[in-house]
Amino acid sequence: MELDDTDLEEFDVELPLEDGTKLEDLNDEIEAFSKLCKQMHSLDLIKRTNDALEEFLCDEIELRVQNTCKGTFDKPMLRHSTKWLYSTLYPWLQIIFSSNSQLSHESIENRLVAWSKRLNYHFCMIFCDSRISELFDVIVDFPDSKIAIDDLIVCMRRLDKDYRYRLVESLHAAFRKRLLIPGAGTMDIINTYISTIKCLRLLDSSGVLLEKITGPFRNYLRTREDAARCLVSSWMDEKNNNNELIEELGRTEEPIDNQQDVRFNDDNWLPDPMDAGPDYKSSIYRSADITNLLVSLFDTTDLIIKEIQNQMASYLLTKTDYDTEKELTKLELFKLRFGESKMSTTEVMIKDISDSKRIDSFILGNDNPLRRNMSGSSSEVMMLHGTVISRLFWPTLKGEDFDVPEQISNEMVKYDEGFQIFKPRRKLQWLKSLGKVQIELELQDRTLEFEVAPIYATIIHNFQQQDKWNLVDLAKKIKIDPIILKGKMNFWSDRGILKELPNDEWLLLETAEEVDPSKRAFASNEENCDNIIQSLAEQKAEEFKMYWAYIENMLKNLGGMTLEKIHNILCSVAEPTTSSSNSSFDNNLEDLKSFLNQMVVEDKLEFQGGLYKAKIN
Amino acid sequence: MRVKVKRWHGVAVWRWDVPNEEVCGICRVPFDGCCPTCKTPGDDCSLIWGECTHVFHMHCLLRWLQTEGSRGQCPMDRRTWGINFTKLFFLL
Ligand SMILES: [Zn+2]
Ligand SMILES: [Zn+2]
Ligand SMILES: [Zn+2]
Repeated sequence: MELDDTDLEEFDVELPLEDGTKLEDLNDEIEAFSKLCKQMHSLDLIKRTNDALEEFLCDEIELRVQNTCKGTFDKPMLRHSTKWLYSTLYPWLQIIFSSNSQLSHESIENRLVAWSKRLNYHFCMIFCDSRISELFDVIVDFPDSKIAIDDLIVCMRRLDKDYRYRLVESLHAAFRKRLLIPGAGTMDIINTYISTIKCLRLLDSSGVLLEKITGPFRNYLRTREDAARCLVSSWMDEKNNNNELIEELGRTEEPIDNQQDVRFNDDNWLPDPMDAGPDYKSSIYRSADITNLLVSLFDTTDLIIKEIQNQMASYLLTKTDYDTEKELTKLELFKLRFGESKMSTTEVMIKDISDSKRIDSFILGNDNPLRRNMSGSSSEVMMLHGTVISRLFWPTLKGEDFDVPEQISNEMVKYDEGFQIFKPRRKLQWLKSLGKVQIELELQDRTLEFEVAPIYATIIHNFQQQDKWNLVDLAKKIKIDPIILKGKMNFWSDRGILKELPNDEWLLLETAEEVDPSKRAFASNEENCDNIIQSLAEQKAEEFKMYWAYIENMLKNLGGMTLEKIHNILCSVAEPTTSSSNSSFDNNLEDLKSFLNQMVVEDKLEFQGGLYKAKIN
Repeated sequence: MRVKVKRWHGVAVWRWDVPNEEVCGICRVPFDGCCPTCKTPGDDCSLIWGECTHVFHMHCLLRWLQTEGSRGQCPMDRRTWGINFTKLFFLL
């Protein structure tokens, strides 16, 4: 499908017309036109109309591009148009020139070639302008629009360098206007960047165009708090099997941090193009490894690594079958990409799950001496299974403590005893709110099965002994904050199991009641597993809270300070934290700024004339 | 209503049976973490208890005992290092 210059300059009147009619079928018209031309020649009118003729033909070309090429990205419009030029437009030119009886056959030919060259070039410009102006849409449609990119490549090759700048500028403007705006989703921005990479690496193998386009993306994604989360979640996504990003993730030779300048051993090395910018790193943009480019949108890989840990933790903690095969595959890909040492924390998390499998089968199996002793009574079947984790290697896990049903808390004690036999000198501490419970509710008129978070199982379990609870009483019983409990009660009322009565009373519905269908739809969509991992923003805020008393005191005693001053002081006084992963005060200025501004919003600080000041009470 | 718990999958963290929030006296890393040369805590980087009741990452203590200056003493109290065998027994 490649078109080159010879295609465009080949002159062939035998080509069929668009609508299938051959030029010969138009014999009458041609004859009439030819006669007209001859008459004009004899009157010496043709020469004077040359300019008008050229203008007319150029207008025709512009109309053609406007009407048939614009917006069509999935058909070879360049080829169609070339066909049109040679089969429709140029034959008339031939008639005009042939009508001049003084011209030799050869000079007619020469004129024809000269005109068609000029018009071809004009067409190229118009077509190129049109494609450049709609390149954003072409990128969004990619790969369905691959043909449009191929066409553009052919045209750009014929035009001067200036068009590269035009392309970059036009694309910048389109991104600013249509993509890098608050209304666009972060995932959409990332996906468009990926398509941009693919399109531009077809258009320009040097990577210069890509480098010029990447800056605005990088700057804009910096303002998106969820950028790293979106990127990582597309790598982690289980449901999306033909995930291209995962495939791309696996295509690498060296971890990012070890990547040296590849020039010396790269046979295909070419000097950087003349229009390369000062921070053009040829290797990365030229090789155009999509994952590296995506990662390069972030200032450091730390944010991405932390996000991988967080999302991995979420996945692992929902497992009840201890199967970590998928996670191990991902881990290997991440190791190749980011280096083994950066992934060691994630590796421990995954190992915790497979270790848990061994621990669980020991505790519940016959090798556990405690089990053997009680095997006589069949009622002692353990319902409890466990995931045992190494606390310092996991992200901060949210969750409140409360009293699980007695049967389970007894089993938790036994489980711990079994663990202490299997792993001497170690003990367990249960995180009650985490995990998953399969329960069956046998009601008067219905039996229902659920898989729920432990807090919901605990709530409903308490309705077994008594079918009506006052919220405060129930909160006291399971030792949880009534405000938190109140938020959890709706889970069961949404499912038509409980009913809220006035005065914070809740009643069990032994027989089903008619439920508002809109509510039911809502209930079925609602996820029953709460977000258990602290988000990175929450983690940052936590870290700053450790320093809050210090900051407040400092501002009270020393007066107002600029952001930079506060940051400098914090950097010099902050103690390394005890946690194994973050070894020092590594928070940057931006994070500190957003924390301080939050304190201003919460009315705990004042901000005046560039200075943060303590509130005077 | 009858509530039948079919399976309760819980999550627990493990801790070494040492006073909370204590760190290894040699590397200053919490016991539940691992010594600076290890990547995996727990089985792969276990603790060692001395007769003097001091506890360390086993790897940290072995490295310390190999240094000239240690003279076979506990780095915390400079008493001759002896393994608390009752604790070691459990480890084997
Ligand atoms: Zn140590
Ligand atoms: Zn070790
Ligand atoms: Zn000692």
